Amino acid sequence: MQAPGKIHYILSPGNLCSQEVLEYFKSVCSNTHITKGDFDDNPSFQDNEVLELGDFRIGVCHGHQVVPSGDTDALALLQRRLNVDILVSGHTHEFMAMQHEDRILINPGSATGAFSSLTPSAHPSFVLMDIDGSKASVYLYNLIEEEVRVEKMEFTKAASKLL
Amino acid sequence: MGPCQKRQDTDEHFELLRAARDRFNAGGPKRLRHTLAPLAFAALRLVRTIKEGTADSKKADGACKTVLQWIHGVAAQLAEVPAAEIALQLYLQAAHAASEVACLELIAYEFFEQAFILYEEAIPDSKAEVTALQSIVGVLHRCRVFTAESRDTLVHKATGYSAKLLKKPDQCRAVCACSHLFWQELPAEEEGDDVAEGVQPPVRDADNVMVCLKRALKIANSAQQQLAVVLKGDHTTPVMLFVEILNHYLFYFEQGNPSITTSVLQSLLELVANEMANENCQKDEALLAFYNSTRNHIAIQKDKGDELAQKFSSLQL
Repeated sequence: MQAPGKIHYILSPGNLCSQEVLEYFKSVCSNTHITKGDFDDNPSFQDNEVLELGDFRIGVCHGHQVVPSGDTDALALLQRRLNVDILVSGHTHEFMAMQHEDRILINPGSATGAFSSLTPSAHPSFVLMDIDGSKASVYLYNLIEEEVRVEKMEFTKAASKLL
Repeated sequence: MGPCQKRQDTDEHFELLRAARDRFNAGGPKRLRHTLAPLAFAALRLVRTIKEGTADSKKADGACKTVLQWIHGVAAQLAEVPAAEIALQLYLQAAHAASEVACLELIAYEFFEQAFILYEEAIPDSKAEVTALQSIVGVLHRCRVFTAESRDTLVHKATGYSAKLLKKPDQCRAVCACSHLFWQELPAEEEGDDVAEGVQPPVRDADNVMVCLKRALKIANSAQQQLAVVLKGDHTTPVMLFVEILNHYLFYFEQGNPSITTSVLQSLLELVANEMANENCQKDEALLAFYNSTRNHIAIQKDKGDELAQKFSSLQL
């Protein structure tokens, strides 16, 4: 996975908290889309990022802006505002990937299993996403008690109705 | 961190953190802004470990208080570095721990007080103000330890600052976020009757939610007028705000907030439809997409065929 060229994009909702982590990400893949978390002080990070991959519009946002934190309907509101099919958000450190109405919400959790007052027993997790036209395959990686568990979910973008 | 926690010797763990801080103190301001925050987080985790691992609740409270007071010192030290934004965030994290883990109202209040003081005195620019306020509102929303009077003071401060942000769109969004301060989430099913001492019932103040949303509408209106005077009203940003406020109305409608009646929602739908009919709005792709997905969301709710669909059935798009 870490071989150069395998990862085309890195999407991170934020709270890298240090320059070293950013440099590590850049060493894996130079195409990074990172949003500003509440503990980031890098001035080049924005609140929201939107990019188009395949048939999908993907949004990234840390999520501390969303009230109530981690709430599906509140996240869906942001998703509609950014007009994205997939919203990648963080902040809660609660790993989650789900289809909501005709779109997808993903929270990759904390890559380090860092402490969060919202999710006391957060375990390390991340997500790999493979986009092929209108099909997105999402691989969910969780480290639970020293064991790596991988699950796969697939989403196909329906032909747009009103958009 | 694994072996340390399993030892359950929280006193020793705390001593280790104190020793680490003593060493880090010698690092000077450039290092302190990086070294102190992780220490504080380790201490926050310790608060939870203490609370969950100590059977005697008086002993647990005492120990939690000690650690929280130490965290207070660390955050204050960070503020002096100066690293006001990180310090403010730490105060908020500690406030949340004091409220939700330790159930210590006075300490939680103190942390919020310090966060607000930093907001008033040390947050450098309007962009940082927006972030700081988002965090304050997000954390305050989740705190359930405050009795009515303390809570009112904090909420009043938050809404007041929100309405005074520099840019109207920021004001509008912040005030919408503040509406949630009057509408807390209901506790998960499992909690039932075993609510810990000091935890207040969730706030569900439909009237004040409405007050916030109406204030947001007023701000959006005045943003529209401002642009009309200065830039001949070509801008669609205020309409974007109207659509966003509409989405907040929908959120509360779905939640069963009694202030958001079908007729209230219908009026707002018509207002937004009127605004959207404007030529400039029709040319703004992002705005159109937002508006259409909002309508689509309503259509999906109508089709669900459940209790909620009944409420939506009388809405006309």
